[in-house]
Amino acid sequence: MIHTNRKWYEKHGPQGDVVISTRIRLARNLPKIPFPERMSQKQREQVEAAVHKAVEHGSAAIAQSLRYVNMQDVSRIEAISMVERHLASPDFISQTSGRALLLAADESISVMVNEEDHVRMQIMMEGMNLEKAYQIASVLDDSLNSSLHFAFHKDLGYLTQCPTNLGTGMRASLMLHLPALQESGIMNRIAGNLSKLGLALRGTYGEGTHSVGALYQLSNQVSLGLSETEAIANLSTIVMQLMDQERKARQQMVREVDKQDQIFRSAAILKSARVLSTDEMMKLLSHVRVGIACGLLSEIPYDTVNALMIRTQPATMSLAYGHEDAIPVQERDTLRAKIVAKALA
Amino acid sequence: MICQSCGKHQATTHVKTVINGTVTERNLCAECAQKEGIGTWNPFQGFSGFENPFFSLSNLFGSFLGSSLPETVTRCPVCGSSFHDISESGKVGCSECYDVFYEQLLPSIQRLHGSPSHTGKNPTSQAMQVMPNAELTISEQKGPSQEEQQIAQYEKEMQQAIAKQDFEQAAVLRDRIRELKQKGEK
Repeated sequence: MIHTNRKWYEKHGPQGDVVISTRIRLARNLPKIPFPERMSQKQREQVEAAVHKAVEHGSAAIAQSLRYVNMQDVSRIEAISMVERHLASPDFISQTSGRALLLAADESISVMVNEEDHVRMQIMMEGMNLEKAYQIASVLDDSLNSSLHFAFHKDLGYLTQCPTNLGTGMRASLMLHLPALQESGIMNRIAGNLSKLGLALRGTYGEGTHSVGALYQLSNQVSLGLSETEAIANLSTIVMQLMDQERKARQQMVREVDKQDQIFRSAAILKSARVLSTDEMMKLLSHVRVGIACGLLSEIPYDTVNALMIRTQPATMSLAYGHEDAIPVQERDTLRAKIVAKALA
Repeated sequence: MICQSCGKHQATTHVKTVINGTVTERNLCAECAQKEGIGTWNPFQGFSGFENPFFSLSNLFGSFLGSSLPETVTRCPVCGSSFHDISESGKVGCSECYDVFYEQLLPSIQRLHGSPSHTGKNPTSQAMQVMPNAELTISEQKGPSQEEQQIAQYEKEMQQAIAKQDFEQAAVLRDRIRELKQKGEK
């Protein structure tokens, strides 16, 4: 691993025992041009060119540092890896024509052009970093707005293709590791309570997905009538309570010898298995994370665990090992086992 | 969604036909829809699909007679969406649609968000604008300049002088204020 230019997912941040990463997304559109669902190919190209130019001539240094990627020049496997690295959505890579991605070197900033909205800016950061991530997003937004003049309505705020994003166009989400709460079987009840507070708790890969390795996404639902700062404060306050509950439940959980056994066994399997599927790895890493948090496996850094969760995903791993197509499953599971064993050795 | 007729362009028109009880649904692009005489809006004739030259007239009488002749459909001038297109797909056609269909969209927006009024960032406000080439520096609220502070101080002293009926001193202060203000304007 090259340490000089580490990606956001190779680090851990504030509240890293529970919060794996922070994501801020801003949805923006250009006026007088149909939203992506109703755009012609020519209009797609127009928007792409306008955003490209806005980034190049942007006032903020962060805008100028972004690399422009035409999605048609990207191989299938690279595109899938972008989804695994949370840089693009599955929908975005399903159709590459007239779509582009702007990317920062550490992959903490990505801008999808012509996804559900004309422009979707995304800031990813390790740990709980909502304020800082929003600040960066806002600087980038200002920089692009100076030449694109995003569609805005005095009452409805930023105008978006789907009315659920009206207002700030902001979705703030946190990737949470909640193994103890999951085990206590109260996740559904928690999700129900959170939705009453205007927040959504979803599976690992967003809407309609299951939780893998006890990972959940928590995000704000309401974007109109609440300012960005208020929405972030609201999310922070609630996540603090959730974190508190999770930590208490973990302390309780690790008192049991069975649980301690499970943690140490998981670490042992990860260190010595010869074949490892993604699902098994995610499950075992989840146990190991609890072990680190409770001081049982303090020699393993969170950074290593976080990085493994991304680096061993099928397409990302195939790509890193110079394959132009996805490596066959059996071979992949063997390679994954090697990578994991080496990282934890 | 791609047009089901030419297979090339983005479909913008949803066509539902009922013939002898058999329902067929198709999605067409603006061009193909026009070719088939569907959905091209003429403000005087209703839809060009209706060949009857007295269509608009009969519609007018129809409304008096309470007949259920088809009503004219409002379409967004930018993207051509009707409110029906929006409610069918759940996706708004373009930013202009929010103005065109504001009243119709408002109830669902309120259901989604609870509030119909934006309170967050505003792209036209200067407060959030950043300095060129600055990274993560949001420009600070500019405080009063030294001159402005001095003027405020003199004005206060002048008021005190007037209160004490010390008009000579007040006149001196008045001239100083004038001098500073002129300097500031230059």
